[in-house]
Amino acid sequence: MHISEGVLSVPILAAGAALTAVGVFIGLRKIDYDRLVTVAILSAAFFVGSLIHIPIGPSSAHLILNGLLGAVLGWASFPAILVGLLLQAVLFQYGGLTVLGVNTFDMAAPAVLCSVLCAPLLRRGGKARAVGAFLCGSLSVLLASLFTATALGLTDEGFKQAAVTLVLAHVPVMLLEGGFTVLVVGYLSKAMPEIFQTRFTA
Amino acid sequence: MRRALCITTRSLNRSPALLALLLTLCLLPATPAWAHKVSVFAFVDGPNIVIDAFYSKSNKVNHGKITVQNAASGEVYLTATTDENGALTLPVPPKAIAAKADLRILLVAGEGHQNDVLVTAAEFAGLKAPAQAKPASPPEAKAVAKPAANKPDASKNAAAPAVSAPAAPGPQASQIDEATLTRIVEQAVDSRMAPVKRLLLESARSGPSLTEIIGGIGYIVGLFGVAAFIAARRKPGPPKGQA
Repeated sequence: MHISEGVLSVPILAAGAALTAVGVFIGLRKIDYDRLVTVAILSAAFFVGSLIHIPIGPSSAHLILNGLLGAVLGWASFPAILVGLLLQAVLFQYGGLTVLGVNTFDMAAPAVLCSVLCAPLLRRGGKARAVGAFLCGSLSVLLASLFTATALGLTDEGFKQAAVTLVLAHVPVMLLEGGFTVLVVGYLSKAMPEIFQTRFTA
Repeated sequence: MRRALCITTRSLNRSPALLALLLTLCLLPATPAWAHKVSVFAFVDGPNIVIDAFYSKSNKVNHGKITVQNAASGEVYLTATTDENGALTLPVPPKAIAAKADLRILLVAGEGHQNDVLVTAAEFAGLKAPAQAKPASPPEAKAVAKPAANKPDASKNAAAPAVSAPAAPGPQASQIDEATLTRIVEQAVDSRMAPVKRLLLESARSGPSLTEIIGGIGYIVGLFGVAAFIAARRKPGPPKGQA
């Protein structure tokens, strides 16, 4: 779901960059000393996650992991995803530097949104937390597809067509990421329970 | 700084399973089918431009839109669509030959995927047939008729008007004119270079290498180090419970 260089119009690129800048600013303020390690590890996970592909019929889609980042990091997803996408653009030529802002916003904004929506569930234990994690993981992918389709639709390609194609292609990814997020959140809640308690107090 | 290291190791010790998981993630991508980057590859083969559009080795661009345009002015010469195998063969636009213009081959594959490749004018400098209608089609009667006195097989690429003059009698082996010779050499080189072109095409299709993946993770570790260093210097007190 990386948008390539040269597809989007300049106003969209500028708007994406501005929104991402705001998100990164807020995210950086929310990162405290203790959570640096978590942010770095999840940024690395995001960076390699897109290399893991799931074949879907004739096409294939890759893991995004933005829901996992949202569930664990909240606003700090913005800087984590920005770093991951920057390195992907520079090292793998996925996406590009001018579209970095739009791509970051398309991935990170759903992460933050879902983390806020699912926070009450995540803070509770047991089944509620598992449901919250699943929703967070899968909804983030759905929203990311829609955000990307919006960016494409605002420029040139029809929104509906892009949205349908992207969402359909990512249905298996949504299910998979939902399950994956449940596993990781389940583990983290045992190993580092304070993550889900202190997150939104700051 | 020592405190920073202390905290780092403490956090890492607490999440060994997470680390193991991440390491496994790094090793997984051995079966690639990358769908985030689209590539287009083009070279001049005789009078045609041969175009190949692909996401990966096994994943071709089905019906991607190809636009052939002047690299400098942006003037669009041709538009076409690739077949199911991402392949497309187009004639070199006569206008481009006349103007000696570099060509930009733009591929739009949909869902925000797009890429382009440059075909320089030098690659089709041997072609000089601005009047020719369809270089892609097999030699037409008109083109063959004129240089009939010369070797018929060599006239396939048909720079016809220039060649037709030296029909003088003489020992045939030594009387090859420059244009004919150029064509023969070009054909020989083309056939020899074909495997090399294919090899280049193959190598362009590989996904990110392990070096790049590890390098990226290295960058993230480095960035974390810088952030931890700055945080450690800025906050001399106990680092717990910061907002």
